[in-house]
Amino acid sequence: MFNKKKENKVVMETLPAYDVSGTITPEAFEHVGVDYDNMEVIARPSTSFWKDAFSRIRRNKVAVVCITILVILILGAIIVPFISPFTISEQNTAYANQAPFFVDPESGNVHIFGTDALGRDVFVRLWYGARISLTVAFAVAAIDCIVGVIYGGISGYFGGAVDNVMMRILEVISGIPYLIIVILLMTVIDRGLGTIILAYSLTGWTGMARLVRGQVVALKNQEFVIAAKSMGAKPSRIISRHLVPNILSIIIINITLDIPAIIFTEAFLSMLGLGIKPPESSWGIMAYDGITVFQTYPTQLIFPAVAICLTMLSFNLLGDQLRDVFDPKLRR
Amino acid sequence: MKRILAVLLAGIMTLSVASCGSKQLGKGTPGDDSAVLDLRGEPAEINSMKTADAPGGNVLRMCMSGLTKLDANDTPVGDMAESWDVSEDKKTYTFHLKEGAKWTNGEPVTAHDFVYAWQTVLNKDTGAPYAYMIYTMIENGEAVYNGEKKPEELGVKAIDDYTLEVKLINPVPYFLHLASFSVFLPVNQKAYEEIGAENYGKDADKIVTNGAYNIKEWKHDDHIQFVKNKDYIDADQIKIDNVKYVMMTDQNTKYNAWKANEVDVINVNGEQREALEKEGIEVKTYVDNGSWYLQFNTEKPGLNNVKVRTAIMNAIDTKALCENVRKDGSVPATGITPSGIKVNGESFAESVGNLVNYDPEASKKLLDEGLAEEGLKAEDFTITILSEDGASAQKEAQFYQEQLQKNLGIKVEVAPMPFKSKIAKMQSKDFDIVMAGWAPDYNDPMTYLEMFMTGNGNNYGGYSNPEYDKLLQDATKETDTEKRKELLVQAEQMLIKDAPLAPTYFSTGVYVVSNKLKGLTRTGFQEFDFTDGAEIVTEK
Amino acid sequence: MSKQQVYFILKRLLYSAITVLVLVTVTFFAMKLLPGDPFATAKALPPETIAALHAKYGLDKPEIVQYFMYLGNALKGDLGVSLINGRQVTDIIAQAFPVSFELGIRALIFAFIIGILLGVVASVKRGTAWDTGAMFVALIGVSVPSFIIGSLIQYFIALQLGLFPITGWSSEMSKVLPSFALAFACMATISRLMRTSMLDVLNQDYIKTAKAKGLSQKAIVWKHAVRNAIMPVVTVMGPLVAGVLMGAFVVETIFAIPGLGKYFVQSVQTNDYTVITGTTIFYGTFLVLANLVVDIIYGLIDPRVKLTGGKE
Repeated sequence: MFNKKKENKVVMETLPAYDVSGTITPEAFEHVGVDYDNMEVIARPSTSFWKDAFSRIRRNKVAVVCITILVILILGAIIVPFISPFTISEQNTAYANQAPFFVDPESGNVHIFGTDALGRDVFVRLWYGARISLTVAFAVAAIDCIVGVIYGGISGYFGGAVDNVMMRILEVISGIPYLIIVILLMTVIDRGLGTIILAYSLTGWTGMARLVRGQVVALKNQEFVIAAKSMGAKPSRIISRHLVPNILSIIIINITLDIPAIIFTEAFLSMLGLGIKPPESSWGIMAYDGITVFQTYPTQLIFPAVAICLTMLSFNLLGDQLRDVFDPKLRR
Repeated sequence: MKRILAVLLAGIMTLSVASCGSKQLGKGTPGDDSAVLDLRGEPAEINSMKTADAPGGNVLRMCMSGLTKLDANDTPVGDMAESWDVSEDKKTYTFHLKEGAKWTNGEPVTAHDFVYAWQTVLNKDTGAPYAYMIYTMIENGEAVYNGEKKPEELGVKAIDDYTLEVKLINPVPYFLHLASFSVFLPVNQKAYEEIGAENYGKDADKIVTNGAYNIKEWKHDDHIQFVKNKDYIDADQIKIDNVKYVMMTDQNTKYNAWKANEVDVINVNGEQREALEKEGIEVKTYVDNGSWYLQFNTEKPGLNNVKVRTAIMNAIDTKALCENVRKDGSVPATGITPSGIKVNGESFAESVGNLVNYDPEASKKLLDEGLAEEGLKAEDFTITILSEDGASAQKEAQFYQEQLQKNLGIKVEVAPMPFKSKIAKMQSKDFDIVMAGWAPDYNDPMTYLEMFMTGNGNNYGGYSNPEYDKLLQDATKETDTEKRKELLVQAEQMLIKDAPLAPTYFSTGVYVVSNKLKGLTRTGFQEFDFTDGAEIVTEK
Repeated sequence: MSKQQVYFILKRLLYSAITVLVLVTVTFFAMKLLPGDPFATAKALPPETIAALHAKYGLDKPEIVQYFMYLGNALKGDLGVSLINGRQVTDIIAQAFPVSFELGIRALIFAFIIGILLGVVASVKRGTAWDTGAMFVALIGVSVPSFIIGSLIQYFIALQLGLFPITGWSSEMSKVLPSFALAFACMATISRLMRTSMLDVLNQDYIKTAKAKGLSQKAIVWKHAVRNAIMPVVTVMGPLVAGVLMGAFVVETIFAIPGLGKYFVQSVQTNDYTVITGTTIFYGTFLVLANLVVDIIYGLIDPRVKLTGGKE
């Protein structure tokens, strides 16, 4: 009734909108016509997937705290080793295992976090370790992500024999004793950041590939994919343009959960002596050295352990929050 | 989040403060006829002919009895052997065995058991890693090992059931000491054949022994339970009825287990030693005769120069290493033979004198000189130190790295790797400097010095000096012990002067014992020995 | 079960067998590339002794011959003897695996109970401090490397408080802390999965119906929601078991437990070829079968999942 269009523009200013009997007369209405100027005005800012996600993240306190911590860590890792009066390898064994805020009697500089078993400054080693640990974590996560998405995407999209073969290969790769691969690489190639990243990412992508495959299988028979197919899109286009964007949220979440796992692996392999090249430091090595002396010099464990925990917590919590943010089912 | 963290931290702090001293430290495990010791790992197999690992050696010392055993001062005394005669040329030993000793299967222990064991060791099918200890020592050994002579032709004979005659190749002065070593132990032929070579020594019920203790239970990777052997020939000297060896690998775990009175004896590291001494607990040490050094690849450009090698040797502050880093009582090395090794009752290292002198300035000069001779410069000189991958090995490697970089201005890299990989690299001479160490096989400088003879399997650095070889060969044949000692002193002095290695420290075993266990023997040659009067003292 | 399903299961079993075979093959040749000799010791053995040892264990033959000999023996159930301690590999697995398995199962039960509780709390109180708190507690587990968690609880709970033994795997008490230490890692996985799954379920119509009927919050959560939300959690238990079993090395070392994890790591470090391949076959089969069982259970429980999947 209210949508009914009126042909004539009638203005009845004196009459009430309705009479006492309750009947509404057409005269009660005013035709406002089409406002051609404002028809296309966007009343609220348009929201893309990313913008929506971003604004949701901004409103999420936990996510903001996590991101802030991570940014501080990254900045510190870049800056601190440059401005510290100590280097990561400089030893003074006469002042080994000193407590935090120990003042070096020779140079007068302060060891903010004390010194380690070889008399090296823990503070600068910790931040340098952040550099190594975070670089490894990000690089491995990126490689895992790229390889995993491509592998999983292809496997899931083509299905059938391709899928079967690719999944069996994947099972083999994840079944080969990881240690053998790492030791092989560490002894054949020179130790270094590149070797570590390579060694860690050789099997790490399998989890991501499995996840992506599962999602692609679930999505590939949906209408928008069929539509793209019927319009003659190539598989590579369908995967990259239609399928991947739809599972992007899951991929991002998985990356944030992957990073702690990589830092973990780094710590575990450091424990077996398969980590970074000495005298460089990483959180894993520092924590492992710390655990051997934590009953006598607890701070040598506490600092790297807190650094690892803080980073892991930040990534994990961020991952959780992102899951909530991205999941359409959970929007309120 | 911060608040939760704060509460957590506060909780941990209170826990640690509140409960300090709640345990009676050093009380020891419960039970007044039993002791628990940390064996530090699972023994490979309890087959005396094949054992080459330290835990295996410790278990054999408990349950097997050989010709001789070492007393508390590492002097060989008779065990199965009542007495022995040595021929004029010191090459023939005739052992008179004690009668009445029994194997756990009831068979008597006879001279034939020794003959059988030594012959079996030289059978290649046995796969005995230490076969060379017999065949380089006993007449016709090498020929028997290589199948050129029959086993019966080996220079060991049972003249009767209780008389054993051993013919040596050289007049080895330390043979009686060596006779206590695991590969020279007897084996009961009947038991070995009944159980079968493949299964022998793999489980508690697949071993037949003749020693002070019997293996009652062996839970792999967990513990071995010993009970006193009533039939042992000197059973009346054994005062503790039950001994349990547990296998722990993590250093913190051992320390915690000792503090919680779950184990009576553990080895501790430098930090733990410090902590224990702070709490007023007496920590014991023994000279384990481990000699540690950096071995040079003498064929690498730069390192082929003796001045460069000497410079590196004298540019490492080994005192700081021992006192500030290791902190376990290790002492700076003065040469290759550690101070605990005695010849004719005197410390051999003292006769040799101190050959290593830390002097960074002089070393730097010497290095530049040496490098110039090879057409190299310190700034461009890069060397890699090969180390093992354990935490303490890497710590030490980084110490050497920093010392050499700081004192000599050269570039040093550290390459840590798993033990087997490291050995492979050493064997293929694919290294510059390798961190190595030597634990002695017998109480004589020869065990260290022979490593550096031309062509010796352990001479990874390719050092070769005919004069040095000659000195050692002469010493081997020398029957006069004073003259022999003089030759060995000359050899060691020549060796360190040539510097195919840079001695760093002589290690020390540090351990802590609960108050209830007294008289346990621990030396470099006997990690644990209960036969020298170890007893349980119960406190009131 | 329909004929089609049986056919599918048989086919998957065949694929699994092939997967394990390829896995063994790759591992066999990869481990031969590991530098070093299994018989190398700190003291150099004479070359003829090393050669004798190689001949004794068949390592002197060409690798391809060794490979087929190994496969032939493995099919007969003979995995060879360890090159390091001379014991039968099958004996080692038979003695050490049950310990690792029990440790893993105990850890999973711990993780399951605590994880479910945390997940439920977090989802019911979603967006509140409870949610963050519960997830925080769960996350502590994955945020601290297991060698730190293990050492710390051993020090504080076992040594300082004296509540549990430090080492061993004999009494019930000695099994508590190691299981707990191992449980930490997968507790977080379970609690998060439970949280997501619960949130899913809580939005379903039948929960709204239950609310409308006026059921108490408690009844809704525990009788209606949890029972349904727990399903996806149960289905990940298979892969989790495999993961937990393989991750036990650190905990086994710290608490001196005679499990298989230590053997596995040691075998790689010492080039103990037979133990490497033996444990790889064992774990590989375990992993592949776990995946297979989960797939089959999925198909049997959920009719929407096509067991004959793969064909378009």
